[in-house]
Amino acid sequence: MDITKSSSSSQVKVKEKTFSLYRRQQLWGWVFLSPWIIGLFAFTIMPMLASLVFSFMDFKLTEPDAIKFNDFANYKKLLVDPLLGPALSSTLKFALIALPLSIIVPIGLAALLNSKYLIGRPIFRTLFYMPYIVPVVSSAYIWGGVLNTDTGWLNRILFDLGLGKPNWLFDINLIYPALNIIGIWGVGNAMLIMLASMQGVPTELYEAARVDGANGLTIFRRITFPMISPVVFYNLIISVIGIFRYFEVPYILKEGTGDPNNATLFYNIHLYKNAFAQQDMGYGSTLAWLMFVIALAITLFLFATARYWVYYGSGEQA
Amino acid sequence: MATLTNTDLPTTNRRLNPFKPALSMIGIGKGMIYAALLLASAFFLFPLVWMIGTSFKTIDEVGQSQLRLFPETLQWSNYSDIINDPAFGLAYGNSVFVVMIVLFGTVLSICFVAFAFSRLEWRGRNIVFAMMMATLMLPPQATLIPQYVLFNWLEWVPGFNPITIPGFFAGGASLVFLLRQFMATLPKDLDEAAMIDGANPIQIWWYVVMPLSRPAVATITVFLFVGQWNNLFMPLIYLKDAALTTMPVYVAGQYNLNESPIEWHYIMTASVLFVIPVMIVFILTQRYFTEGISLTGTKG
Repeated sequence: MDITKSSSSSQVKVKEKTFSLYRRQQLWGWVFLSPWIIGLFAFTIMPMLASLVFSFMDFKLTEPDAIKFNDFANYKKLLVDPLLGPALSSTLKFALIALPLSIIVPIGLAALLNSKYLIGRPIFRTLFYMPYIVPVVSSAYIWGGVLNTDTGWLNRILFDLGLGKPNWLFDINLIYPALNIIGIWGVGNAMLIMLASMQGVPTELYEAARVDGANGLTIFRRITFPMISPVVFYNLIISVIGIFRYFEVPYILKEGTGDPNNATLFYNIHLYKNAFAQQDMGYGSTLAWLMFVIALAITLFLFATARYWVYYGSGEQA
Repeated sequence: MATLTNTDLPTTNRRLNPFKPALSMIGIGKGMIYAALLLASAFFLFPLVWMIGTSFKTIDEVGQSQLRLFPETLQWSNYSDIINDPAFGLAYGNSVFVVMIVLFGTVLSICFVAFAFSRLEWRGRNIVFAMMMATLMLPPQATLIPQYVLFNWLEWVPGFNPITIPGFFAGGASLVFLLRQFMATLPKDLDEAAMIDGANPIQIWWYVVMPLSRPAVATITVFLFVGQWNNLFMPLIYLKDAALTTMPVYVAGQYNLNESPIEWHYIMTASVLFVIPVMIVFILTQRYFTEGISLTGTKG
């Protein structure tokens, strides 16, 4: 260890001395980077620009002769699309439950697993993580079965307790809680990230707080949460993007129909139907850009709030 | 003397802490923690057990009113029925094929790019790195449609190319980040020694850095495997030909939950067969998941 440290500090001097070596590294840096650079242009930057252009065009793959600029017709269509409102509102309603849960549940589970002198921690950790590995297609079907109104186990237990048989996947008031239960089942990865970051909090801080007489809640609010806040922030951003990508579970449970009453017509399902089911690439691109702008606005807003609650310890910047 | 002080130290430490809560308080707290953990375990485990149990039932047993997870006689015939379905075998084979190619291309290119970000000094490295991390925040739909148009124009649709080829260009910024974090911890003297011996960066990459990075490479391989095996969206768009179907599309397309009767026993049998490979990989490589996440988890 000592050898590594001393050499990395002397390495700065080495770099200055061997200027030609440094110049050669410039070139090699770009050589090694080239796969990603090519990919960035071919699969990210060019497509982004192309979709902006498409959003101003009549562009149906089924009608290749009718491709032309259409005088903002796609943007005008946004205003009159009868399904855009439902798509936005169902995504928002889902997000209002899903976003807080996507932070609270993994933190809660990680805090439990981070308890002192816990016996069987690796077993619990494995159990909580496992559903994350299950393909989302399978988990949608599994929960479709468990939440089934008549044969589902949850309802049989609720019925025996005299609580009736809620129509989880068909009742407009229960569909979002139901989808969120399915979402929580796959929380394992976020939990493991939170746990790893909690385990990185220096124990001296806890000891000092305990000597000062702080209780568990205060310790969590004043030490644990600030120390893991960069990871919480990262998770929050990823969750926002995830909500705009939400597709598989409603697609399987509802065949993408949006039932009941368009409550499961999430933004990405609406986009998929327009772009890929109807092959309307022009309007699909408009929808994609609208989503990009909304997602960017939310991300920038979160970044603006970050300085009030995200704590970057000195010298810990990535 | 030395041994005396050593054994003495812990006891004095314990006595020094006046805020140590009473033993009974700890007991109650512990009890609640274990109760919460057991409840959560039931929530996470039950659906998996239900899946396995249902896969061994007859269709009548699925609907029975009594609560039984496993039937009296296990219906192994469910498994032979699914395995003998030619569409299932085809989808399984296609999935294995696609995942192999994507894994090869993506892992190779990520190893290249992570090396550039961690072992080589070049101007603009931090800016380019920040750009790469920013692409993580880009919703993939924004690029999806033009990519589809491009691949369609290349006459790659329907086909495997739109899924396999992009992998060769270091798809997945989060995995590049993970490997870069690992490579950055390796001592730089190794590269310098090799360089003085006349090795070029490609040789350093292959003979010095790659052998030492095996654990991290294993981690990204495992993450990629799980992600690809489970991927529904891309195959749904690009593999519309019945001969090209992969497992997620096969399972998703085979069963409609809005038509009765729902063949739960067959759905769950197919699911078990679909889940088995990822579960085996997960159980065998569990420590790579935890290690990989602790590499990324400590940084925002």
